[in-house]
Amino acid sequence: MNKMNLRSLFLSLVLITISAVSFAQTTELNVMTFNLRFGELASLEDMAAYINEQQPDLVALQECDWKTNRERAPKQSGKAFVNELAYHTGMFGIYGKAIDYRGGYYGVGILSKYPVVRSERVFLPNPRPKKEQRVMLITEIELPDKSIVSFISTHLEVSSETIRQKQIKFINKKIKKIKTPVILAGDLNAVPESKEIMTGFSRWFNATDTVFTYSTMKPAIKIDYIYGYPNKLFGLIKTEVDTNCVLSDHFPVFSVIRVNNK
Amino acid sequence: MNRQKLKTILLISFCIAGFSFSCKDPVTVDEGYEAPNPPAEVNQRNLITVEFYSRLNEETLFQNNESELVVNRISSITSPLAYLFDRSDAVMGQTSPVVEIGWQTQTKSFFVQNTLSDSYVQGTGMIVRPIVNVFEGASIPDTLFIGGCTLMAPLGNPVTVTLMTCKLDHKMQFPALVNILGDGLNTNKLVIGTVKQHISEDMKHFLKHHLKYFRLSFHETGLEGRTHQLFILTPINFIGREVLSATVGTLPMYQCKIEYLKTLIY
Repeated sequence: MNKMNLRSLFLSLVLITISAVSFAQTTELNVMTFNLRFGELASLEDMAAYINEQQPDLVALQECDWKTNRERAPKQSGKAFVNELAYHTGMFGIYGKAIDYRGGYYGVGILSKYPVVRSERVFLPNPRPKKEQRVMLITEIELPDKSIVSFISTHLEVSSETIRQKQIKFINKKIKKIKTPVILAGDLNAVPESKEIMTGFSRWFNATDTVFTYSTMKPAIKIDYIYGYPNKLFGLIKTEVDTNCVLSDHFPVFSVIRVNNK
Repeated sequence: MNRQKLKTILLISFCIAGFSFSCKDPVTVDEGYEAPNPPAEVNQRNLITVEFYSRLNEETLFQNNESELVVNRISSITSPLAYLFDRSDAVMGQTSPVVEIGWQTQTKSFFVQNTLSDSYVQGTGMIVRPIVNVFEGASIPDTLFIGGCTLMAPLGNPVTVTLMTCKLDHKMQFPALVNILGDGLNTNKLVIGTVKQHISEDMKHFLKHHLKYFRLSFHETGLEGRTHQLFILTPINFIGREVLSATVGTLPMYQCKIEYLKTLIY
């Protein structure tokens, strides 16, 4: 090979490397999921202070009230949880109503450090015999590198495996239409060995470990998860269940994930 | 008639036909879409009120804790369908003005960004009272952000509308706007936003030739130092009837009244 050819080959390799780097842009996101147990065990200010300490980019919240009056959580009466947490954390807040409850609403929420481009509350299947209506809250978040990720917060049916399977099947169908990387976080009310998790999330990137997340009083099962889709776009930097945090009956779950978003 | 005469007559006929054909050219020029005239009488029962707060220039809206008076107003005057806060910019990690207003008034807050950087986002805040299940939005980075809430407007008969906002600073945003709205102007999308003054005529011209079944109105405000103009873009079954200028404390506010015209006239 003459000198000229070697030079061309070297130049080509440099160009390929540069283009590969520029196309495969990755973003690191600190994602958190937290079931708040409708604020029965701690004030929203304490929860916000805790979230602030963790400095998450995205937070999926479950068991969020919106101006309800619960006997079991009198201190939270009339409070819009997502508004309170957004205000005290300096994040943007989105609420997804699941049901009417005690003069207000009960549902899920999302906090995002970055602006929300769009959001949609979607009802999950609830076939007969009907149980409590469940929802997924889908948001599209614009990251500082101008890429968009979809972030979903959900809370699945607690007592029926059949309904959970239908709900997960529905989620899988729904996310296939989403063109951006998807991060789903929430309380799935199913253990890792369950059929619905084993099969329903087999094509997802699992961004959590097997540490128990419920209950804080007597940890015995893992039911809170963070997943990414499609699998190949995600990498896990670290994950943690904070078993020292007893602000709810669930432990908060964190994952720092790498998203290949270009 | 000999052959020569026939040839001459045919030649003249072709020339006249060709000439008249070329004379018809201006008639085929697309004059663009013109919305039919709305009814002269305003139906007060079908009026939607939206309060749009804006300095109509490049400055941020909230400069000296002016939000307190806005909070009082939102808490006491509940008739507007929504409140929009142009340039209620956000700093990442700090409570944005619109989140604070939402917190204080116990309403839903949304944010439509105009630009994005690592730590600072220019954008328009939106406050609504009812729970919103869909926040429509589209983002074409470096080109156009548009977003808004799908709400039930409590008119004579409740009507679902998607109230959106955007900020237009460059002509290159117009094709994106049309692209995003798509057939949206047939589906109750109402856009209240601002456009740089020197391109407002271009916007009018562009939409006239690239969009149908819409009504677009600009509103002069007489505000000193303004660089932008307020516009209302609706499907033809709506019309921006009136924009009243006011101030809330020191904040300029425009009360936009949009009428829902029941009958579709195409």
